[in-house]
Amino acid sequence: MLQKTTASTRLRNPTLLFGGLGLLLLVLFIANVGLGSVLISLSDLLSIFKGNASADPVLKQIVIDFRLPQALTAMLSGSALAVSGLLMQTMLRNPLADPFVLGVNSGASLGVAIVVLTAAPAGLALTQGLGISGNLLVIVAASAGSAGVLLLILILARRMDVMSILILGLMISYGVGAVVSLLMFFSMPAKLQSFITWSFGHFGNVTWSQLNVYLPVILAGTLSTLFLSKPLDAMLMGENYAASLGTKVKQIRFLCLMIASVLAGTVTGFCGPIGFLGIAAPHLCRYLFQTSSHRLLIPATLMVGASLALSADLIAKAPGYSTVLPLNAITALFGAPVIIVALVKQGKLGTLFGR
Amino acid sequence: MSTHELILKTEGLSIGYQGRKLERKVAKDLDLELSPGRFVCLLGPNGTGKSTLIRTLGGLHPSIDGQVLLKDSPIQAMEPRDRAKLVSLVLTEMLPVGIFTVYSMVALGRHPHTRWNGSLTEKDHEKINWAIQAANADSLRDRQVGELSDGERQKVLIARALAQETPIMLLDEPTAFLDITRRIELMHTLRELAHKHSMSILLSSHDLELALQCADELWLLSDEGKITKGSPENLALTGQLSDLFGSEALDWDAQQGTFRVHQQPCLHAQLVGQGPEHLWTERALLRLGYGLDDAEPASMEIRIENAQGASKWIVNFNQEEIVFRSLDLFTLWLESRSNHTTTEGSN
Repeated sequence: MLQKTTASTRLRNPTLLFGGLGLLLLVLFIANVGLGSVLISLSDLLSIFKGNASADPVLKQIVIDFRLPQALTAMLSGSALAVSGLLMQTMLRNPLADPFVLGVNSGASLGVAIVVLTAAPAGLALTQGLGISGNLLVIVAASAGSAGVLLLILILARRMDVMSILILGLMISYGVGAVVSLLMFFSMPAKLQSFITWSFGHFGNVTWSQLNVYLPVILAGTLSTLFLSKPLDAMLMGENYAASLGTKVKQIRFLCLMIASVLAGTVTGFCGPIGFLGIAAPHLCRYLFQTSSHRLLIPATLMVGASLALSADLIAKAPGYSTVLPLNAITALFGAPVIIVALVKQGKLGTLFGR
Repeated sequence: MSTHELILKTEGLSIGYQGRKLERKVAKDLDLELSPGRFVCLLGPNGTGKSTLIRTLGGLHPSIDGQVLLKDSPIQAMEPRDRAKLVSLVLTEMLPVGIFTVYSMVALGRHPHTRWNGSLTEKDHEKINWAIQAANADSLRDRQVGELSDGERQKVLIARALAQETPIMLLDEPTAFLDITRRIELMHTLRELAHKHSMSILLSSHDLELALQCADELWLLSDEGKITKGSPENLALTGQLSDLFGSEALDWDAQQGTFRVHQQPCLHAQLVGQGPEHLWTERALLRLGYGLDDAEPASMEIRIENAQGASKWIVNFNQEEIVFRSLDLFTLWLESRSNHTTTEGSN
């Protein structure tokens, strides 16, 4: 059916690609659960999951309480950021768009900055709490910050064309970023340190009880995008053509910007600002599948995003060592060469986007 | 007029742009009617609002006053999907972005007919193939849209509109980037589609001569925002065409059906001859600024003789008779002569 829809000789076999991506995802997931500062063998993992009484209780605790939620969080966050990047790129018709173009991450960082840098006594408590496990207050502050910016954008963007929305997002980012800079300038080094730690991004802060919130929100957001493939394809032709094809352009635009920003805002709230994934995953998928059809691209970005996040987290965990590297540095450090290779092989990634 | 005939109609329509404070009316009080099986060309000088009218008729642009009626219901109140089943558009907009083969791009035209996920049925594939064929885009089927030339892309956009399977199609300047042969081809294709499949096709253009040849009806949009309707021949004959398009610098040539750059003839000539030789010699003379008015005394006489499949041009000028074996030689002589006179004049 799919081959028939896009009767191109150049189209890669999507079934095969999806199969490969699924396998990769599985391997990465198992690796993420097994590897870390403590290395857990495959047979130990099996016995833990089977619920064998012989399983080492310490290992079991590590896997169930830390590794599993972290791997799940990485998958969910990667998928969310990737598909959110795809929505933004299509909606704004700009290959440089990422989940944060509307400024939701700067909103989140403002929320966190206010909580961490200014709330003095609570801030000190946070400093201790931040590194160990996810802190509810930070999550709430970040989510509130990104929700605030999102609301502002959605109200202002109703009467705008896409280019203006893009510039608006940029301006809001700069404005909010300036406030954060001022807050940083006037705060104590210790607090600054904890804020910077937050800004590195980390998948390990989300506990099982927080996953009760995180998982349904991200799942609902990402899965709802699967229903948008048809209008998104139409949107690639430009808003006027999309309208002439019967697309409710304003509604779709509102819906897409909202889903993308809620996803990006939620991820930022729970895991900190994680860059690069959102812009890179859609381009990687277009390169892999050689298509712009969202019927393929949406599931593809979900899987590629999850795989990238798992890979990055695996590297950040530095298996075998007791240190944790900043996630944000890893995504770009290891991700950028991948994109550069694709760029060199393709000649011009822009053409993938049709420019 | 039967009620089930689908007609696009406007009643007292005013089009233009409405900002918060200012309002710019491009055209007002338009009562138009587009009926099935008609190929209508909308003509008008640049900047008169042809594109605005097309977009308003297509329901993409709100009207300032009055209404666009489709099947007797106002187009603005229609569900976008229902509207998309009745009206398809080809716009002047930039090309779509993305990796699309021609086939998958034409397939987008099926959107109003497909389910939520856009999956295509047997019938959809049939329609897509038909549309590609009807738009003469067969050879492009598996090409990437990004690699096409402007003209080829135009064909694909038309195929996409055809795949939408609508009784009404509106095209905004579809011939703008095409060379003259492609332009003629496209106009005839559209005309045939209108007649064969009883579609109503409205096309905006500033290609007057081609519109005169192909259209069933012309709508002339003037600078003042009025529309004059009628058959191309009648509009030409009654001089309404020249009123709209003519200017100080342009003369309407009712004989040839074209506009000419207005110039004071330097010399009057008399031309005798037949067939294509006569026609093209006449055009050459007019181009070089000779008057061919029989009423004026001619200072040059040209006789074209056809003998044994070869033509010769016998020119009588200044009591001299010069014979040319080809039109080329004759025009070269004319050119050198007029260069000569202008240099003389400037001395």
